[in-house]
Amino acid sequence: MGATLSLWIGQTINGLVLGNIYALLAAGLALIFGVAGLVNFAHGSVYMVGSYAGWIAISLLGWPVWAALPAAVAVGALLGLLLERLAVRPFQRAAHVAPLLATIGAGMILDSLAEIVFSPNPRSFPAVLPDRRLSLGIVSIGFLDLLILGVSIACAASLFVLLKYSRMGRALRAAAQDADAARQMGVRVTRANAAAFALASALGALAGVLIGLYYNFIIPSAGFQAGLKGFTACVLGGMGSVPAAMAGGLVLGLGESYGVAIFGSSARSLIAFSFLLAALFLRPNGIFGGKARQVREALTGSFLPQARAIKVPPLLGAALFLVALALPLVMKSGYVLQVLTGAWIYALFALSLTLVGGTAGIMSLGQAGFMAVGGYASGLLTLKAGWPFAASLLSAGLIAALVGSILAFPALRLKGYYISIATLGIGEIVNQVIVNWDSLTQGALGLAGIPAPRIFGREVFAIGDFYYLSLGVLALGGVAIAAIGASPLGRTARALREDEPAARSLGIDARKYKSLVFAVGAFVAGLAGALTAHLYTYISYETFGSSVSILGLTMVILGGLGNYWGAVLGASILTALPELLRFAAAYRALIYGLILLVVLRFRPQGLLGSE
Amino acid sequence: MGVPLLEAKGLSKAFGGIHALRSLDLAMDEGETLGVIGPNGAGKTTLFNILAGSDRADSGRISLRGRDITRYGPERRARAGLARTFQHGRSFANLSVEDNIVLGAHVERIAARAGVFGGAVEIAQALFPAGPFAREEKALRLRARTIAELFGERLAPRLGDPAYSLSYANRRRLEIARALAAKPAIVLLDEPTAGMNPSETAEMLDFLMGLKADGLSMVVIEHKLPLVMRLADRVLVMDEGEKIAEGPPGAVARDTRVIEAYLGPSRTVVAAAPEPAGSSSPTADGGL
Repeated sequence: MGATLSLWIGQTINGLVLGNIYALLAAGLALIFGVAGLVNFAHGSVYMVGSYAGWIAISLLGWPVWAALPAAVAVGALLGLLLERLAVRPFQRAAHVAPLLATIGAGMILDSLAEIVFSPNPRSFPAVLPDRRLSLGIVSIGFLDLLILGVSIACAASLFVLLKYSRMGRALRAAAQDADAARQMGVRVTRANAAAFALASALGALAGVLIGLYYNFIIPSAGFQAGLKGFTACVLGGMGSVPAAMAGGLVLGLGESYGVAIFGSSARSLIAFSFLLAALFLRPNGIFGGKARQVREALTGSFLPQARAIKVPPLLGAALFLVALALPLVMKSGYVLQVLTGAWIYALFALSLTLVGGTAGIMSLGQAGFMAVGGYASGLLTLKAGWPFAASLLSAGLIAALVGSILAFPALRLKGYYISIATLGIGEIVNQVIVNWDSLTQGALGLAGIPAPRIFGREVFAIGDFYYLSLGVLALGGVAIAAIGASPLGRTARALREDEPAARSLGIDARKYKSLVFAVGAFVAGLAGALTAHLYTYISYETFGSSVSILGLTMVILGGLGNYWGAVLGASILTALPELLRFAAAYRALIYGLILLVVLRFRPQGLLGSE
Repeated sequence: MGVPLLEAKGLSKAFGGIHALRSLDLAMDEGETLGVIGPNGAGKTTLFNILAGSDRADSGRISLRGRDITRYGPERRARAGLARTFQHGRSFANLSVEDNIVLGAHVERIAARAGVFGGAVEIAQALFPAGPFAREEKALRLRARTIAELFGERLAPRLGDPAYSLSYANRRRLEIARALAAKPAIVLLDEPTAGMNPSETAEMLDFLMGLKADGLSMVVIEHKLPLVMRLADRVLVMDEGEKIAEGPPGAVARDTRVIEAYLGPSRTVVAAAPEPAGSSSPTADGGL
């Protein structure tokens, strides 16, 4: 009995420590959301940079922890200013989806820079405090826990004082309430935005160092999950208010800690992101958020620049298809065919994204999750159940559509940023389920030995054959998606994208139509996932990670959001480009992030124009 | 007298401590045009939103042709035959004028009437646009053209243009065209001439008079009294969430409570004195 009690007390302390770190992350996100009206998808990356700044100070420079923490905070604040100046301010006049995508691009750039500079491998974080514990009866608490609790509570208190009593705090609160009115009263809103980013990023960087101290290691890819946990805390508590978001951080930390005690530590992220979805579905305004209003405007409607898209006439389309058919006759290089096969699969994936994000205006940030469902479905059906490829391919699409619509249906009630956060969470949950469902998916090991497809009794193994298979599926999928885009269904989806209340007043059932389009998108993404699985014969949860979702989004933006030929063009360019620039292989993600930012800034309608 | 076309009983709505609507009743018959007027803050917009289904009343009930629609959301009200416009012209900016109007007839489509199979029907229609699907699309496009032609040169030559390229007044016209596309039982018009200049307002009045002559039932919420006075068969005057007068336009205009509500209690005394320059009276407000 005593042992169980002390275990629970221990988990409570762990939960509070973690919760305080999440609270720092969430405070920054809520601050930026309040002041700049923007969900900062680069926040996790700032946190990651902060943890490396702390690591440099402590490990390389040998600074004591009391000097390293302020140093990381300063680095974070500077980075926040830079982020605001380069990735947010230029997009202020654009509709909300542009700054959202810009922060995603900035996050990609930071993550890939960290991988280039520090290598993608984890670094161990030196212990800075003696590993001793204070015992008070059955409660025992480590020095490090005390340090983290002390630092984060002190920061929360100073943030409170700063916002409540300082001039800058007043300006920030005024800008958050009503930016226009604040501007009229002489508040420099641009400066308030910059200050919010600096403050938020300083807190994020601090959280990064503290988590490094807590887990004893850091890794460049940690930013993504940290950012998602920050969103979770915000959504749990209530996005609109800093104290509510911080309370959400504590709830998340405690919930995660108790969950780990019950289900084991591999379920940690799954628990956290289930919290995210549960909160989004049950209380999108947060536990403590009261009846704050949701962001109501459509994300893409007003973003689509009002310019005609470049149309590809059917004859030209057919000619391009014939050229693609004839290519293997000219190009005998297996390497070129391999790259092009990858491009066709990515084009299929980009088509699914542009249908959902462009035509229906649902910015899906977790689309690769449905690719994963399709890949695993087809892989398992052929490998374990011995299904023929044609049946497993079709089932992969159907299962992805089913999973997609079940997961997304509750989310489609949400508006604006919330739905993007929800899709991000859905993509991550799919991957976490894959990791945790060992008996079906072989967990982190991945699925090996996926058989080559058999079509009409012929094994599609040679790359030349696979080229035709992927091109054929792309052509069919493309024709189907273009038909949907041109159909009454496409028209209805666009109407919902442009103005949902107006569409509803015409008798259009918004949620039904959105989930229908979402299911079609998931179906096509599932096909792309199945092709990927059979092409590489091996897949794991990492094959379809968040970076794939973001890459797909970059392809779609490059080609022109909602433009189907644009999706194919964007996918072809972004698949071929790193191969053309062989020396740039290490800089691939960096280049993608830069392309995303540059396109958003200088040609937001993409190469072929949005539709 | 049969069942009223639209009937509301005891509608109340409070926002915090403010009573936007207090136990309001209204009823109208087929073919009737009801005008709703009142000073700013009288609760007109709240009433409109509750009738349109975009807001819920705290209490009271609404029925359309005897069917209780109190708990219907905007989608179901549209299916029940109720159409509306928005105050600020919410057309689908990146869609063509034709597509905008065709969307107005959504509730008539095969897919919209297929219930749980609606999604499957939509996919089938997208992939095999032939037979009944092709006929449906053709019929709806024809109807869009016919409706656009009601507005003459304003919309008909622009069917293929995106809605964002229209002028403000034309976008408002487009919204009315869209609302007419489903051949609704009743149309709720939210300030149909807001932001229009006098000549555009006069043109809109002519147009609405034409619809009325064709037998369309309308509820019109308007600030411009002369328009309401000419268009409406009956006028409902609101103030502070309550109905203060109801009746034919002429009688309402002479009602002392109405004049008081618009001009303030002291005005009734001063009203005998010469009008100070720049003041407005109910009949001069907004001018035609």
